[in-house]
Amino acid sequence: MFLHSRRNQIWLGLLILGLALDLWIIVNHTPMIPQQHWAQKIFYIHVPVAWTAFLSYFVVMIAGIAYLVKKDNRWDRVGLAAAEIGTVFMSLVLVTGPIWAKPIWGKPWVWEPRLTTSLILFLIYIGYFMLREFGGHPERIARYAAVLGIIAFLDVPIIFLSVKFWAPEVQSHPQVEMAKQPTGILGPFFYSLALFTILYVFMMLFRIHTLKLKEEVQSHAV
Amino acid sequence: MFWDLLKKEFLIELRSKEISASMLTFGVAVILIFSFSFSVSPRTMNTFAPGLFWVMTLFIAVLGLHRIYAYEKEFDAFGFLISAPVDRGLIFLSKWVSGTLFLLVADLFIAPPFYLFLQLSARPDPGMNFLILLLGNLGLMVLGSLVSGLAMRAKMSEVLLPILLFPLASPVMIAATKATAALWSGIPFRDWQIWILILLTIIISFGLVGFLVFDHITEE
Amino acid sequence: MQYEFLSYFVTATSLVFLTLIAWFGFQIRSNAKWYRKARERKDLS
Repeated sequence: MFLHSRRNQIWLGLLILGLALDLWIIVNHTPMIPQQHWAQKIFYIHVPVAWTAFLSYFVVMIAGIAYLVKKDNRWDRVGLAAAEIGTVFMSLVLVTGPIWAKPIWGKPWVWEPRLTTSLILFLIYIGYFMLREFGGHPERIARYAAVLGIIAFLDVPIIFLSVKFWAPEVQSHPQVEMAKQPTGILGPFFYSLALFTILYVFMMLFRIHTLKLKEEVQSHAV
Repeated sequence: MFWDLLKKEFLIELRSKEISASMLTFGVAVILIFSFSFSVSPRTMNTFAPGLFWVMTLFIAVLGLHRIYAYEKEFDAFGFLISAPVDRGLIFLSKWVSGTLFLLVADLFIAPPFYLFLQLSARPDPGMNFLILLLGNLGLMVLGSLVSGLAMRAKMSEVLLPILLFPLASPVMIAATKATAALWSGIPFRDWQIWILILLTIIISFGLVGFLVFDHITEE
Repeated sequence: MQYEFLSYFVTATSLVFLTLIAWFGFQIRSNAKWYRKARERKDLS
């Protein structure tokens, strides 16, 4: 079992401590921005979650390319794990984004490029899982999923640009705003970002481990 | 070799006329529904029209893609096609080009009734309008051919195709609609050339990707 | 004034953390299940 290993137990413990510390810093040791107050603090969570989601979909693409080149099932497992975890994070982006937007912009949904790109990617990945479900032969599914993962991520910059020019009046997005803010924000922000990235790596290792066990069992069951 | 594949697509279509017939009648039916559903002033209709036109084109494209790949599925013709000593990238190109041409022809036939029934008054430059139409159709079909290749042999392929294609094609839809709207309202080209550039980016990059990966899609 | 929008922050943050906890819960269960099956297979052979 994944958590039988002493090393993984230590990692999990450190991650829980790190997340608790992250929450504590965000609540007590980040400056209160006038007018935005607590709503702004959502961003110490929201932006790292969004970063992790996009990173994960990037990993799907890399795993897809590697699978098509090497035809090694290991890369298919990496791709599937990254797609699943990426979608978990992406749904969190789509929930926390509107929660932030409601008090700040006055309305929960604005066609802002980042948020819109997140939504479109999320929808593409719903299709990705349906393709995996209904694709047929396992080896064919692996190939098709790899191709779709590549296409989906290549679409990201194009979606982002077209939405940006489509609704140019929507300007305010979080990261630029944060960089302009006074000191005391960047430290906690980057701590949170790094922590979520490490958490992501840990989740990937966990999921890949399970997928490998599953595949071993299923390949021998006749 | 590419021309032979293309000829094959056209011969089949000329004989059965399945794709163009279904695209055309479906397109006219959509216009009818649009006219009934949006009973608004002609001025409002003029601002809606570019979006409606491209929504209709997207629907027609999905319909056409179903037919284009459906006859490959019958008698497993696709299996024979890919066992032939042909570069699979060329199969993709022939599907893309023929699909675009079918869609273009359907669009050109549907455009007059669309213009007439929705009582439009714009007088756009025909050459420019055709360019947008061509680029938009190329963009829709490059993604459409790729996704159809993926969805074709899956269960529920008729559901899977639009579910995958619509979000992937959203930049094509945005760019084509915006460009058409700008042209129809007489905005100078340099203010909306970005949309042409975005369409070209999509066509070139996904054309290249499709050419490269279609090998893996068709592999048995 | 100090507590303005506090409910938004609490909602968003707890959603994120509850989701993560749920994810780990499912993974631990799923991991244990396949581990058990893998061991049963080894016992048989």
